[in-house]
Amino acid sequence: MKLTAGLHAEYLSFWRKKKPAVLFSTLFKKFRSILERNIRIMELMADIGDKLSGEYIFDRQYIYTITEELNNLLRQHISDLGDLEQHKNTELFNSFERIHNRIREEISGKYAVSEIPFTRFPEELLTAPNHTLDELGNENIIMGEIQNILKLPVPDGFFITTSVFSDFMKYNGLVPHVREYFDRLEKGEEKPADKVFKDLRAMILNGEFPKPIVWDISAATENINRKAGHDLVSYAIRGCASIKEKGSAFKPQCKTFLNVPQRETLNVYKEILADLLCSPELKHYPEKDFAVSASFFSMIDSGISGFIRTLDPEYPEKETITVGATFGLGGGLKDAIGNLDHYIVSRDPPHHVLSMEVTRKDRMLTLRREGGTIWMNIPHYTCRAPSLKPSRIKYLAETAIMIERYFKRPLEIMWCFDRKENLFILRTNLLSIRNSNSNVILPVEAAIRNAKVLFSGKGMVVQGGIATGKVYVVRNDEDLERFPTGSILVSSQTSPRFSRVIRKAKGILTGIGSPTGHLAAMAREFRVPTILNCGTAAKELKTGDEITIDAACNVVYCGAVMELQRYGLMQEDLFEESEEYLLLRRLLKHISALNLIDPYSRNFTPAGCRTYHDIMRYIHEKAVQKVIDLSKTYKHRRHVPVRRLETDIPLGIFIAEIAEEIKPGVGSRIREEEVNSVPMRALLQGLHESGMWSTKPLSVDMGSFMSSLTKTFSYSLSGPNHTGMNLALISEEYMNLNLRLGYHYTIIDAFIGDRSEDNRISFRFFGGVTDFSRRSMRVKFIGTILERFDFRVESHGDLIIGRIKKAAKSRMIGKMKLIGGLIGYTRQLDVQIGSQNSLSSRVEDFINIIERTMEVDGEQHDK
Amino acid sequence: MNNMTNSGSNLKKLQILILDDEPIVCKRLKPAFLKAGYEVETFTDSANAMARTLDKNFDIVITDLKMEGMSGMEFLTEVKKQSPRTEIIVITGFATLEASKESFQKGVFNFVAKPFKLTDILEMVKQLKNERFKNVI
Repeated sequence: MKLTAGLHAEYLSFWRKKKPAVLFSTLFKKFRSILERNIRIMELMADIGDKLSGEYIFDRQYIYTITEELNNLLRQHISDLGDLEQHKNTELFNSFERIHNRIREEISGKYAVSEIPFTRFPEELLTAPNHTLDELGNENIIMGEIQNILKLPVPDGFFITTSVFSDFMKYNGLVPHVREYFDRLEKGEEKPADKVFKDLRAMILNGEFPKPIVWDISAATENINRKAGHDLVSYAIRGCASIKEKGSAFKPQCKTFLNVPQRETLNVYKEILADLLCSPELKHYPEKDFAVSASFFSMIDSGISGFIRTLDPEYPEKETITVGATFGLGGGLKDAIGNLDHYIVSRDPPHHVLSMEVTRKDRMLTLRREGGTIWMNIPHYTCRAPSLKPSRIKYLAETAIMIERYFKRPLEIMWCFDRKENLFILRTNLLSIRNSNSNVILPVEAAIRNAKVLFSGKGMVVQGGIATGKVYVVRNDEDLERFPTGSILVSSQTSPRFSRVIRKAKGILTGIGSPTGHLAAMAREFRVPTILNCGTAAKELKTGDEITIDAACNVVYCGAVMELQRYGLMQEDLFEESEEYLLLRRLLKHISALNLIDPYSRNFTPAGCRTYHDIMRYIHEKAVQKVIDLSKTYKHRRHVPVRRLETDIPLGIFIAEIAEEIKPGVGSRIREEEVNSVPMRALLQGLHESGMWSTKPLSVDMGSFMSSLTKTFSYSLSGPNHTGMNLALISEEYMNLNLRLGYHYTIIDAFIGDRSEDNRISFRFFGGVTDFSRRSMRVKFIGTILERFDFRVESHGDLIIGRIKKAAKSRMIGKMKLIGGLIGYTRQLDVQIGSQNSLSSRVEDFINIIERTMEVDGEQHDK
Repeated sequence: MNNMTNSGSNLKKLQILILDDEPIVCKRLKPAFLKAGYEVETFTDSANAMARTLDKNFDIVITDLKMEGMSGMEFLTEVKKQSPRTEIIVITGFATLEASKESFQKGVFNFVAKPFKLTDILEMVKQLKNERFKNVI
């Protein structure tokens, strides 16, 4: 209360000409504590990410402890911002409570049933509150991940959640009947059960849906119609039954209804329920608590359909893929047995066809105009033709192995090619392998004993798993473009650019890199076995070397240890399927995801915070803003904490030093050489040494470029009068600079110290004076430059954000110099870049000049 | 709970018992030790683990401390009493100085705070094997 009263007094003092009641240094300490806590919160978020790598053994207690610490830090954060801004942040606190409750619900496993929607689109699964496994069942979740994470083509569609099932059952009073049915089955009263069975089936088929369900499903189908551009979409509908009881052996089989017209979808859903609940199979599996979800995928008019098994279930040691294929729809596979072409394909790229058996295919299942399917005869001149070309077999094998790599299990995948030869994944099931566990332990022990270890314990595991394959060393963009599917990516360092090929990579090894960087996050997202920071060990590897990575044990073996790879595929309990892993991953969505990116967007509000990271970001932004405002209020006072930077370059920068104590009487100006902040000095060096700011013609190629820049943009506009007051908060290792130059606005937040783990730079750039296309070119230019120098880049309209972290000090200093050059260059960039060609040449010009500037202590910069 | 043993070789392998009331710890440690060539039994209930140690002497016991029923400290005390040659590694999410002191006083080989790296515990066991159990494979 005292503080608040003091702050009021401070503001009023502007009018009353009184000394401020609260010293700037006191408020600055509050700001410092926000910055320091930011680092701790970031560390904890990174720590959770680390635990997902598979390298650590953790338990639920860890999850309770770390979330509790985060809760406390966030509460303190909100309170500190309140002190700094002199008002209570009720709205922000409400957002915090909302997220906190979600986290509590996730941990306790209890959530409000009313929150489960009736329908979900696959793309929603990325951000949905994640009791989705219960809502949708494993089969549908797998399809969601194939679409959302692996970005593979899945037909447009949506899922019906288990709450439709439970509401339908309750609405029609079916629950007591089901209980009675199962009770009688349990007691062995088969005859009465038969009668109940018939009654139950009739009741289900005559049942009605509550109105909200009808509306929701109708809205979902309209959405699909809009995507399709017509309202004649028909569906492939498939039920997915799951037993809630733990350890249940029952795996209910559901059939797929093909080409269901929209008007029939609800009736078909009732048939699915009737089939499941009245299945004679249930007599042998008397579990009661099961739930039913369903997938509604728009029907694909397929020319060829089939299955692909990523491993032979009977003879896994053969290391082969089996493909079955026929003409027409996949629903005909069961009836087409004997009429299927079979291909045996090598699991290793380039997936040679080892043998094929092409049969005579007399008929194929096709779509019937009024719904459903119909068998059609295949003309005699094509019935003996192979259903698949070698290129398609290879494509199918690559795709299937990519999916298997992600799920770390042998799989059976149903697929089809439509009439335009586009591949669609229709369904994916885990494949049971004969005697899987007992047959792999003994061979793997011997294989490991005999295998030659290339290096062990050298790096940091960011994603566990086993990968065998050929090394492909990536040194530059050209190497990346040529990256062969199924290879192991080896590089001296990490780069966000690797995300382009991450789906193709079997494994990743790098010489340097951070376990909490972007590549690490991507490797976890795609579950690619990855070891970073292997040092010089990675340099010994050459393109074409065959190796095996055991990322869980941090060992790299020479050659392909196939026993180890099979062992990886056949583990009984997969870490990625454990409750703790899934919980931690779900929690990360409430904790680490960042939605508030642009401080000038409409959702950059307390209510717009959806995760702890959002709250942290919001508080950081507001705290910085507040300190800038406060420094204006205080600037005419005697103990000036903010000093104007004396420099030849008209940046209009004021420096506020974040020190334990503000030194009195330091004067109102600070010379460049007095600035002892590592990031700030590097930034200024970048500006000076690159010559990018110069308004005079330059002697090098850049001269003509720079002078032409200035022709269309008045000098005065970029002069000090128009730069306003730009504030840099600095300490020895930190810099936060808010820079408005002309119409551009730049925010740089950087920490550069001796520990690579702490180092980070974020560069945000937005604003501009030209039309959209030129602004867009500018965004491309900055994005290209930042990407070329290993920044992780995001662009949102006119805003571009580049981030880099966890690199060594010398490398980070080089990056700050680059940013210095970029600031000088981009103040009027958009007026210059007119075409794609000029963009490319500008990029090259810029790089040629900046590379010389970026060299630090004789180190060659890594481009 | 789960008392599965994997054998298959006539040579004696290092026998490891793992006790942790959180199934995830057993589920993750067991395959890692099996793969490294050890024989492993896992328990999530200290009473069952105790009963098993009465039937069989293990070379190494890896145990949690805080559990319902018999605590890990009581368990390791009993194990040491029955079989002084058994080496014990404590794994705990509540790694206090007191618990660590008490454990070492009772003769445990190492005291590890959870979360820990899988490779670290494998290395620890390998070290034990090389130093104390040279006659096993």
